Amino acid sequence: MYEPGLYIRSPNERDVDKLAVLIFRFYSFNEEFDPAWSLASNAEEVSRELALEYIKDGGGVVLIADYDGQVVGYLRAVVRENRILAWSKIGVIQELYVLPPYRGRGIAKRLVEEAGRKLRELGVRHIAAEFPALNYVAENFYKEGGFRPYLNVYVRDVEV
Amino acid sequence: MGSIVIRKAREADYEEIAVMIARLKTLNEELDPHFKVVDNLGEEAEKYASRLVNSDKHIVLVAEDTSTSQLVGVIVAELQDRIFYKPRIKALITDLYVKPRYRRRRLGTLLIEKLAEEAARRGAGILSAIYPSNNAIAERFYEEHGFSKLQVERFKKL
Repeated sequence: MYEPGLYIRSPNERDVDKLAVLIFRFYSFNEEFDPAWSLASNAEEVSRELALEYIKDGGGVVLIADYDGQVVGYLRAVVRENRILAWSKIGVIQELYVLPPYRGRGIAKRLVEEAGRKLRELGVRHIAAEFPALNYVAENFYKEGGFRPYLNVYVRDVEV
Repeated sequence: MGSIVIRKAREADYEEIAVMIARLKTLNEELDPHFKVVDNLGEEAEKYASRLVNSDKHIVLVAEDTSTSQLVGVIVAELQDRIFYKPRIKALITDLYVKPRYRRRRLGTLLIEKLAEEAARRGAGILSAIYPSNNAIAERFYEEHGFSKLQVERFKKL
């Protein structure tokens, strides 16, 4: 889908505040699905620190969706390595968020496509996505995008 | 995390209730853009909460963590007179929220149970709940608690 005015790019220092809000909203939403995702009391501050790190860091892929000059979404992926595997590197989308009023325009899809291109340059064959097991919004999105279930992660309190 | 008590909301609770109401509305916004929240959500939530705790047409119960005296959950029901139908009085749950780190402790169930008791005491013959149709979390919760479909609301944009 072609969206005029949509521009997928790397974030820069001017995007810190907007990116921090998106990070905080991403985690606040996912917090709803499992208590293990509960946020720290200073999560808003940490979101800002993370935004600064993401802008500086070259360790993974961070992209933002710039829509008519507004920062309306972002994606963060990391490269995970396991050298016993034939395809030792896998790209993992850990954060993906688009502000609610901008949903349904293919923005997240564009973010994932662009991340795929960047990850391929980093020597990655597969792209995976992590999200809380009960986040059916994310589940539907990735299924529609051709992703299949790949890894189950179970959790419980340390003491039963 | 200490023990949790369920009690009726008091006037002094309104600010803490407002925070939870705002979080619930923000969650609904995430699940369906048709529930886009207003810019002054916090302010509106406080007005709403302070109106609720003083209303004789509403039942508001809260879950309180006794170790911190903090509120960790809330349930709001409106008592409605269904003038054409029997039983006449319906308690309609409009808001139910438990803070994420207090989930999976059956607080939602406890809130519903206490609310049902209070609603029956106030003359209600039916208990129902309203939530956005995209909210699968609420959908599952109410199904598990034995609620059937009652009516449908459709909409179109003007």
